[in-house]
Amino acid sequence: MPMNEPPRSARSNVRASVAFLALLACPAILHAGPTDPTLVISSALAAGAPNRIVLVRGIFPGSDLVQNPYPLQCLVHSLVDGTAYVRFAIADQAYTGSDAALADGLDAADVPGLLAAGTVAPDGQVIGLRPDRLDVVLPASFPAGPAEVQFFVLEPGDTVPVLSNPFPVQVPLP
Amino acid sequence: MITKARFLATMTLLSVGLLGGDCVMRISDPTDAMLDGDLVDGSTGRMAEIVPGGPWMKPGPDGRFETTDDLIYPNYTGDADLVLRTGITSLGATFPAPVTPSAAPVGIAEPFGQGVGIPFVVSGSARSPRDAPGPPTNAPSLAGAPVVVAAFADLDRDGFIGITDLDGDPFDNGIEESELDHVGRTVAIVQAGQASGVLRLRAGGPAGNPLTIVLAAAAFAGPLDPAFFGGAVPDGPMVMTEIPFYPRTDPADFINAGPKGPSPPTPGGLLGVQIEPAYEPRFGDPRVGERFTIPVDGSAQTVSLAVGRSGAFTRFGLGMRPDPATHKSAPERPIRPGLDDLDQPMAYEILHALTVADDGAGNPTELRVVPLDRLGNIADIASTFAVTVQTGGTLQIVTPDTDGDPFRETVMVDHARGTSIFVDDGGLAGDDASTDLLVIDDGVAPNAVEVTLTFP
Repeated sequence: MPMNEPPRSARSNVRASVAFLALLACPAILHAGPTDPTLVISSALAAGAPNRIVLVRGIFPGSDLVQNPYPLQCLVHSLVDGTAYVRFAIADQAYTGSDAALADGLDAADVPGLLAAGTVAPDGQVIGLRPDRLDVVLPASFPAGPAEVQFFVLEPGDTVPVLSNPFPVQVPLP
Repeated sequence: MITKARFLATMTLLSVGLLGGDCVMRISDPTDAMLDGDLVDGSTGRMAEIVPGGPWMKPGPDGRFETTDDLIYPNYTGDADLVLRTGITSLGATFPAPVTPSAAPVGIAEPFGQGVGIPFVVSGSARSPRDAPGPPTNAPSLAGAPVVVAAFADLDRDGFIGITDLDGDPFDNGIEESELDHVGRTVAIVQAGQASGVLRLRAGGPAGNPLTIVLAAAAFAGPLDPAFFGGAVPDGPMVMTEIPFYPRTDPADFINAGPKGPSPPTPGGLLGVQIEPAYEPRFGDPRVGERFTIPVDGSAQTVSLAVGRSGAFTRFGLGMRPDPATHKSAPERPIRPGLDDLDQPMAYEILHALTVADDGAGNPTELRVVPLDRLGNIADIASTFAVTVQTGGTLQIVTPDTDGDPFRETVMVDHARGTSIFVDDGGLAGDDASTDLLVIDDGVAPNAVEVTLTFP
């Protein structure tokens, strides 16, 4: 039988806890400008075969993405060889590629190169958007195995991107 | 544009009263017909922020609402400060009547600015009661002010937005609480007394059960001061249309920006605002009653109606009919309109996660395999799909069972009403793993629902 989940009155406490943990985990947020977004990944789960989905939960401007094509990016970075990635330009397309700069993880310096690179992956797509959850379908070519998911955004006119914390995910075989 | 000094100077004493030790005054400002006559809290010198038709409310000494020291003055009622109309983007000398349900503009829910939005216009209203607002006024305290416009939905189709007993059902308040979460919000800037724009929705229903929606608005009224949120937000009280709750009115809670204020608005940029309850109406409190409840028959005069339709089908998901007695509203438990087996309107919780009691075989849970759009609304489909539902080997699909495999089933779905399945834990109580995963896949785009099994 279905059971109850935490009541609405617990929301603010949950949000505050998630945000606090994010601040500890993601120093970039501390240096964010006045309207920089808060980007936090609190969980990530991959499932399905042959079509594989990654469910990413956290804090991101989900309500704004209904109104506008905000340039949020979601990077799924394989840890198998350390360089393969799929980048979901949330309001646009998915791009795949390989970037040696990702071998030590995504940092701000990697972002301009990532945004300029990659090959369009028609079978990768954003399949679901909710205020606290983003669902993406991985391209068939993306390797199975350990990976990391990370949000980032570089707004037009800005030179410093905002990055979320990375979150591990185990990608199943297609 | 008025200056802060002038704004304060115009707050002259019109009348004085004492209310529980608080001094009450009224603004006298013939140059600002929206604020003229509004109530001033004598203890702070600031205008009282009251929802039209609602009671004057203060959080009490602890500074927080929904605590025992809340101060609620039912004899002081909010007037119509802001008025919104849908389907148009400019106003003449008078506010037209709010649209009727049959004439309400239709929005289609899609992300990334790709949806069909709801045109709207907002203006200040010369001092008038909630039920007879107007005429529109070019309020100097709103010059250049950003107006937040938010959409609220009648998710349970009872004819009202908000937590109410006017529907004759005192046991569905948990579902109605979900109606206090907006289903879209945007910002428009006041120019020449009016703010207009287009609001895109994130919620809608299929053709057989479209969603009735009310658009409401709130803004801060006062001078723009570079030292206050960078001059992007007026330094003054919040004025509102009817809203189904008492909102947070502290600019620091309302605006997602530091003291330097938000960046100038840019196409595709963040809106940087929140509109959330500070106080959720409790009709058990006679001082509040149903004064925040908004009917969706077109009779509410400061707000206006729209209709929300779901977007294009993208994949399948799981819905569950919420138990009105036990459902707890939460953002991760969205309620969306769908259809039952007889194509009658039915509200479903669209599942992100499912909790099932590990109480042994028997007492299964009915779920609905439903087509969804990208925003998680139940969508229409034009053909028949074979949809496979698979568990990780703990949760069992007990009905239907056409293949003898309790952990996998393929069902046919040919309509927005979806197709029912029943799931249950197997074996005995307390003998299962604590988690599982339901994967729903039509062979093109999968979906997944996390399952938690609890031992009572």
